[in-house]
Amino acid sequence: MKERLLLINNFLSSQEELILIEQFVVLDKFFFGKIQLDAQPKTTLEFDVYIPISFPYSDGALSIIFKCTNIEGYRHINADRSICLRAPKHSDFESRLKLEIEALKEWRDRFYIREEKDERYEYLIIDNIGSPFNFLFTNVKEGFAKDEYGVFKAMTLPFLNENGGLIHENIFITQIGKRNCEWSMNPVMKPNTQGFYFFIDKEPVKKGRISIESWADLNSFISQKNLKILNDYVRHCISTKRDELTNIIIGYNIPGSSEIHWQALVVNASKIPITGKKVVSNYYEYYFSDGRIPWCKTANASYERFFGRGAICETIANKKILIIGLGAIGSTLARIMARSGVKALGLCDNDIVEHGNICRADFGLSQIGLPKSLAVMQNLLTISPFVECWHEANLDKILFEPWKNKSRDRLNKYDLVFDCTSDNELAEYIDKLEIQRPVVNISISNNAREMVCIAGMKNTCETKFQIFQKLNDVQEELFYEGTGCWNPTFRARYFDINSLLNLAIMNFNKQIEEGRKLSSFIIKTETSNGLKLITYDL
Amino acid sequence: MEFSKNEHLNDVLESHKMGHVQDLVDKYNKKRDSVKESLDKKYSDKKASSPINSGSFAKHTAINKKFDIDLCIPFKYGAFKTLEEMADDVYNYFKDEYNDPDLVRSYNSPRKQRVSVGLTFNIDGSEIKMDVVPGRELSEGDYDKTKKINLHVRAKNTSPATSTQTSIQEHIDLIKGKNPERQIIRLLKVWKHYNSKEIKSFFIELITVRAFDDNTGSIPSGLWDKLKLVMEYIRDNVQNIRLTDPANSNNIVSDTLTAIEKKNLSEDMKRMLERIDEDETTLKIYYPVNDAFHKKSGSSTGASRLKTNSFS
Repeated sequence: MKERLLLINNFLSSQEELILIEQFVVLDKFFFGKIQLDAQPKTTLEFDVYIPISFPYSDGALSIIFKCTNIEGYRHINADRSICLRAPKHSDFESRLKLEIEALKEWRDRFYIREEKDERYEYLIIDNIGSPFNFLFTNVKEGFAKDEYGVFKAMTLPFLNENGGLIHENIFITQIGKRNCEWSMNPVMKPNTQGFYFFIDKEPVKKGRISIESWADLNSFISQKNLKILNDYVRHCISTKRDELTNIIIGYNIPGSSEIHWQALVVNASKIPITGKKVVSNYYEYYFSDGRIPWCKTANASYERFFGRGAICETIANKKILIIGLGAIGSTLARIMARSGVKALGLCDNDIVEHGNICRADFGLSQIGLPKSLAVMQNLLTISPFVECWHEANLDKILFEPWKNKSRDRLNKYDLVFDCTSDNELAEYIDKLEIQRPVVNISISNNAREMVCIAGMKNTCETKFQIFQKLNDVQEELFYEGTGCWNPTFRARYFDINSLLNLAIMNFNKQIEEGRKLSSFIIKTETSNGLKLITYDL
Repeated sequence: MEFSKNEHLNDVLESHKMGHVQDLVDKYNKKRDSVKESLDKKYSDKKASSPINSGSFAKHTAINKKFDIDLCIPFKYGAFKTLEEMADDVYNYFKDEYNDPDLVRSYNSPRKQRVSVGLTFNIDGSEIKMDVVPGRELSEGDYDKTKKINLHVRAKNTSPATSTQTSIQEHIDLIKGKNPERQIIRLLKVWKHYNSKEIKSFFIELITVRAFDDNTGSIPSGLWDKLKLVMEYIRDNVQNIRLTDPANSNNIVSDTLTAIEKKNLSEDMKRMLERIDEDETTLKIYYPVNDAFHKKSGSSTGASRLKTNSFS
């Protein structure tokens, strides 16, 4: 430890443009000291420096913290005044120290001396540490006018501790005034809370990139008319002794962009420090008095951002997809589709979840006994706020004559149909319907050695028969569950099925991305010479 | 029983014959005749000839799984000012005047198609599709001599409206008396139908005839060998071949497929040949018999298809 202290003190004393004004000592989990950095022609910078004792390795995400003590408001200074640096890593103590100092000097040159602006918009720095609320919103189609005021609606997803206390709450803004957010109209997104929105014409900046922090600073951003409305609300809450927890969002246009950003706060009505002062008779002026605004976290979670890190190709994402059969294949296929950005999913299976399904299908314990389509719907709605899904009730029943036209119409409502039932009767019937949309039939052989994907064929059932005749040279015993008259089922493990299924979806995605039509293929597991999955296009 | 590729392909052709659906064919013919009659009456002073049959019916290349019926009505040179006016007039006739309770009237029937008016009829529950192609003779009195007509080609996506010259008679003559070619065309149409491929039948006809022409003198005798020859020909040549309408060398039919569609078609052929080479019974997947009219399997095999539930 002493050696390293000595190393730090010697190294920093020997650096150009830098003065060690307080020698480093061990403080808790850090080496702590103070430095000055020359910044001519501007004022010399002063920093409190915290070097984690794990250095040159980071302590969690932390590397050296440089907290600037004499200036604020410049770009890339965090709310706690630490500088946001991205220095490269190095496993040698002195080399990494050098890299960090270089990164600090680069920040000084670019963002303090030259006051460069980033090409990308940098959000305001907001002190929201400790707030359990996280607001998510999307872009909306219409813009807002300056001083616009109204009510927004939102849906909350709270996370509670075992005593029912709130640990964290995600709040999805669903509607601002009359403008709907992009979320799907699924039942989970039904609003259960509301609040006020105020639209201001510019970023609520205190200094540099730092957002205003006190209520009083908000006075110059919100019109007297709107302050009066808020004051009346607060007075009403106090007089009726309904001290409601109040959500407020404040929106503004991001400079140089068509995007709107919202800052949010959650506060008890009685804690909003607003008052009216009589200026002349019958004329009051309303204003906030001092006090810290309890800002919350907010994020623009529009579709492109939500799925920006990885989505299925746009053509598939925009298709209205029906999945018939929600067993080992269908339930996972549905999950993959929702997680990949698909927006409309019809689900069809009139079976219910059994405990024996869980080992290889996408269900949980609480869902035993639920209809499979409902259980899958539940799962999907916890994944994507952009997926609209619905249960295609009794589709399998109407799929048979004499309602041929009715069932054809129902299937033709979709752009793409996945049949994951492994029911040959159904496959044959769908063939006969001659629907105009591509149908993809996915089935596996016993022990998931092969997955057969038949796409866009008019004689799926016959094709499947021909293929499985070739594959089924080994007769294997099916799984009979205990006693009783259960239908036997194939044996196959979750990971075997899904390694095939993931590859199948990759293949379909590739076909569409390359501008081809969906076409059939077989995936085979080969074990003879190392484990391999091989795709045979038909 | 050992599998024979030739026997299977013969079964495919036999089970897809139009004769199996004679009742439906009769309905088609009857409807076609009545449409012809109406057109004759409506355009008695404007037509250069009575409407003529075209399409796969006229060429004997139809398969009973999917077939449209096509009619062409040749107009006199002076009947309309422009080709577009001609095309719109025929469309408007079916939309506003033509009186037939069997004609389905919906958002897509009658509809403007690239060179034709698309009609859908519902006759006792069977859906029948018919395309009516209006054409104008090249100059006053020319039709009787050359049988050539100009068609109005409607704008599509980014391509603007244009016109093209053609001759229905020459299309029919192209494969007249070419029985072996016709067999292969019908087989490729079976493949196209069951595998949902969107290649124009005219393209299949032209490339098949060309494959035979380019191999004159060395055409094998067996059905499979002939099919194989054409498939190999498509695999090797489709990406570079230039196919033109025999009635109009300026109409480059091979341009109706995009480069990627041609590549896909070549790869489809390559894959099919490879799979059939590995296991000849795979032929049954690509070229299935029409079970409904297959003597050997009949409807009884339907049940055995459904019994293969070792994978359910």
